[in-house]
Amino acid sequence: MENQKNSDVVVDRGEAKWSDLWLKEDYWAIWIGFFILLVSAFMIFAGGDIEKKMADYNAVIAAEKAKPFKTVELIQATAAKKALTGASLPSVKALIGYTKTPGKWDSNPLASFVTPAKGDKAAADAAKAKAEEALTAAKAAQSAAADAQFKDEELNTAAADAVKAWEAADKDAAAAKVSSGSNIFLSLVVLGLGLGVMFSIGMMAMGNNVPQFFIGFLGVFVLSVFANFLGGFKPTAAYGVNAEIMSIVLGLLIANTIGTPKWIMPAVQVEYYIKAGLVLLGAEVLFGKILAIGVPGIFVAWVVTPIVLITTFIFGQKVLKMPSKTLNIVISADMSVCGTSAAIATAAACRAKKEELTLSVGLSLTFTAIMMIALPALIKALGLPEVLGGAWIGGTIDATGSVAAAGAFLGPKALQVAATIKMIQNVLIGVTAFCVAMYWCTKVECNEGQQVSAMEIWNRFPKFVIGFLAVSIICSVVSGNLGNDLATSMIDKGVVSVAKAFRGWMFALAFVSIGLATNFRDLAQYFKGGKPIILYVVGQSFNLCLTLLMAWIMFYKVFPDITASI
Amino acid sequence: MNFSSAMQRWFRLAAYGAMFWLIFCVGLPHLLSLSESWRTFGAAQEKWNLHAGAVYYTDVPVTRDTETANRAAVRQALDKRLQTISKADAGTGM
Repeated sequence: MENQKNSDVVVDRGEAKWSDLWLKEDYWAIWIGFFILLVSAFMIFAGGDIEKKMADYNAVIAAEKAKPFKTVELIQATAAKKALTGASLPSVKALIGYTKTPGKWDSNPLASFVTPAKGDKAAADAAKAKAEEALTAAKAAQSAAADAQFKDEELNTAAADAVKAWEAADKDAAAAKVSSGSNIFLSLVVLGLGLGVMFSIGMMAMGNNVPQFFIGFLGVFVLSVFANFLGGFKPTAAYGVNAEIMSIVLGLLIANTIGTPKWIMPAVQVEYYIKAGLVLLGAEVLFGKILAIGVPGIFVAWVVTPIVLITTFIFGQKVLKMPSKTLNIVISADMSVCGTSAAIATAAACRAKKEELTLSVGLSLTFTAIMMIALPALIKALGLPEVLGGAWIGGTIDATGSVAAAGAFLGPKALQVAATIKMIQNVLIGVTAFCVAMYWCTKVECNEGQQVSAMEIWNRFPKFVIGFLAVSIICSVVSGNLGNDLATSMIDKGVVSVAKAFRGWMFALAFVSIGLATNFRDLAQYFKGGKPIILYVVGQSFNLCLTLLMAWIMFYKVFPDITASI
Repeated sequence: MNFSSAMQRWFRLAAYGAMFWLIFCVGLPHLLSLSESWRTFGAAQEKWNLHAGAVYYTDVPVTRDTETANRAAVRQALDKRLQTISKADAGTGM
């Protein structure tokens, strides 16, 4: 009975004890997240000598930039610097290779799992020989210019032309390169077993039946693989259907037709997977990102969003009189912050029911699909400038991928602004989850007027949120201290690459579990009176007005110079 | 659960699955492909290698480049502003 009660909500609660550290899934989510992040950080920071190589490349770039034309060494060092990432280290590359999801496919389903070999060896060899010849010519021309101490304009121009010719030949050689085919079947088997063992250790410590969990887990994992495969179907992926949505649909279909098989039920652990995924997501919440577009970005993303979130929540409580506060806050966060990821974090922080999370994600998908095509069309019809349009899209469309897609639809400048504004907004989910958890502990889950002691707050506070924030703060601080180049190489393209790969799988496992444990009839009752839809529409309308106004003030009145530079 | 009711359940799963597939994966994409806007939209996603369903900014590779470009734009604008201020200061002899 207790178990049943717990499986209805996204997180559980209880009185804090020391034994919670090894008995509660909140802590196990933290340990699993920490373990993955520590392993990846160790591989990246101890294994690659990235720092020294980066310094060498930077020295070459600085020296070569002083010359009057783009030299071969400058181009090579720039390319090598770009390729110098934590994710490209052999051990990290192998680890990420095991977490690959089925890819995009169109008419051939097998293409999702198998990548055929590409290229023609003879053509590749010819292109390579041509590039080598061009390189020799470019180096000779450079030497001639250097011998004249770069003072002979004619020699400088000849060298610059030779370098350009080599650059083009090198690009052709890279494009003609033969790539061996691959398939991910074996890596999926290894990943399934590996994740199964990892989660089983936690289940064992929490006193559950491990063999039953492990067998069920394999079932949930297979469904997640299938959901990822369906999520990669290009025609539906184009309008925002992803693996998470397919996971819910697949789970719902099974649960409401043949019924969830009994042997899978022990592994239907929504909270366990979601919390572990959220701790990993913490590594991607880097606070330094909020400065990417300066003050205008902060105003559009970090001032408008909380106003819209709080106003929508109050509207839901006072005007619509939403029967469920948790549904209200999950929809408000989903709509105002960044769609599915915000919905997951908020639902976990306020102990929302799984049906409420499903409903919010479904609403978000539906409106995102409409908005990502309607909003760019409206922007074009109104003749708004690209930067303003991009900021409007970035601040209002829920799903991150759809924001980029809608921005790209308008043009490259709109894509640039939209994707960055959304990125800044994405970082808000850490603060949102913390504030919602705090508000629920101190205001919602107690009687009116009751004073809540610090200990009581600690007892009620969902501990995984602490793990989530701790990871976010540690990664943000390390990233800030490393400096731009190393942070990009070791955190953004290193630790984060590993974290996001595992996080994706954990969310897919969670959403399959949600579907498997949800009854259509239970879900339907949340739609009564259409209140969730009204809440979403009213909140989003307010969001659209406020974001447009703020974007116009910031990008065209206060900081027109930034807009001109974009 | 007897054999016929089990069969019925499996049949229901197949029917719902087929219905879902026909509506969302065949019908809707076909309808959308008739629209010029949707075709342009799909082409833009192909061009930038985007997945409209990406959950977080780290799932959208182009964000790294847009972030770098925006940081450069902000730096450039601030430099210009500082230059204007220092020119104005020099003009007033401050």
